[in-house]
Amino acid sequence: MDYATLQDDELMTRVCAGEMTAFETLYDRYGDLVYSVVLRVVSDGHIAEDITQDVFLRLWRKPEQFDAARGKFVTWLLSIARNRSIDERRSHGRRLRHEALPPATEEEDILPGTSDADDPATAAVLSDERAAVRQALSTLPPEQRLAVQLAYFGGLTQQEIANQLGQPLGTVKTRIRLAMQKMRVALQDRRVHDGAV
Amino acid sequence: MTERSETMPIDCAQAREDIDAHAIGALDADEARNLDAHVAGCGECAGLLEEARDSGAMLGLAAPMVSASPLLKARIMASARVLDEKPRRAPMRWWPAAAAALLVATLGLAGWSSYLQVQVRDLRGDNRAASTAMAQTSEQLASVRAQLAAATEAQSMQDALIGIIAEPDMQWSELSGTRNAPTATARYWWSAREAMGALIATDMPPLPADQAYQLWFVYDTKWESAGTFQVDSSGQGRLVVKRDENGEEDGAKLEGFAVTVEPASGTETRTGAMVLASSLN
Repeated sequence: MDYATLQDDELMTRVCAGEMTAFETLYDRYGDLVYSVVLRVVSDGHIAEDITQDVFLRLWRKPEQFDAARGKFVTWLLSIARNRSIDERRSHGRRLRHEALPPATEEEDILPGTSDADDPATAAVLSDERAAVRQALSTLPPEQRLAVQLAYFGGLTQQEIANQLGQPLGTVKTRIRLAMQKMRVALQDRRVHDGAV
Repeated sequence: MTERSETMPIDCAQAREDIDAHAIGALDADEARNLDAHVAGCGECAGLLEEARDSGAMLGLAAPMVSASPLLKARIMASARVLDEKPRRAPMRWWPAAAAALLVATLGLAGWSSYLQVQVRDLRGDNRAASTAMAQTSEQLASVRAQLAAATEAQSMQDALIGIIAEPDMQWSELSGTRNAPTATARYWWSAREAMGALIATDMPPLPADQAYQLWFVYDTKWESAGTFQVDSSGQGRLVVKRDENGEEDGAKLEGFAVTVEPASGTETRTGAMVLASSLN
């Protein structure tokens, strides 16, 4: 059987049955993506490797925690990776490269030059979906995009973002709410038109 | 220590203002708690939060792609194989079989006990024989309970080891036998993240019933007890330690581990002979 042709849900069913090949196939499919997200949050290659290992071993130990009825596998996996990274960043912040809160500047904006920053060997992973998310992000006003990214990748709360940006809390709340609404609409439109994601 | 705040009830309008921020982890702890309390009782808001979380998780796809080291894959697969031997296969081989055997034995003994009770009623004149049989039954039941306790302890040790080995901060230390037990050896695994440690000792000399082995964390300024354990007929002893060991306690630096012979109930300060010792240096 060619495991590479199986859908994520099917692979997870096999992981539940203890099939190592299915687990390895999921790692081959998403290992770099998980590592990339974690690295973006913790900014330290060694810690990112440890967390990536942690995420996949938890998947191997408790695959039944994934419920296909509640959403896509990749969003479930990314949620685990992101939450685990933020926990690490918050609890061991001093060990990470960013010793203080991350700079609230355009440097946090991952959109400009994103495709240039991609490692060509891994750029093909979920390329359509990734392009759709970037496209949706690119339509946001820069200040909304920055607020969302500071929350998602920087692990900052709305109050912390307001402090960092020197903006009123209400302004930050509005930016995040509007940004997420627009993102949701853009991604839903894509589902409707392309039947994808 | 700060007391955990009570939740403050919020309405749907307020909840919906916070749902998107919650989906990407941007609420502070109090706001998150209030929203969680609201969605727990509001299906419509819970649905909106689920939807927002889906969109929020997709943000991860915007991260610049970086290749992970091939060594990372090798490390993860090797760790998964180690775990595979424990949670999936080993228990499948012996634990259900042992549990089934114990269940059958217990049911059998329970049935036997019932039978004896009937006999006691019917044969009032033969009290002595019935009493003897009941005593034997009790002994057998005690034996089954002891086996069950041993199996439970083994399972607990296995679960602890699985949890510890899966943690990236897992460490271990070898303990060597002293002249009091030259052939004894042990290994202690621990993870600060899992807040747990596990000791397996082998070739330990048998002890009288009123004594036990006691594991100690040896700091530069004090010895801290980690618990006592007995050994089985093969000289193997196991101990699961539930504590957060990160190499320091109250400023004292962890230097190693030791096992001594102590009274069965354990002691707060070391009194007996040392049989195992290790050094972190």
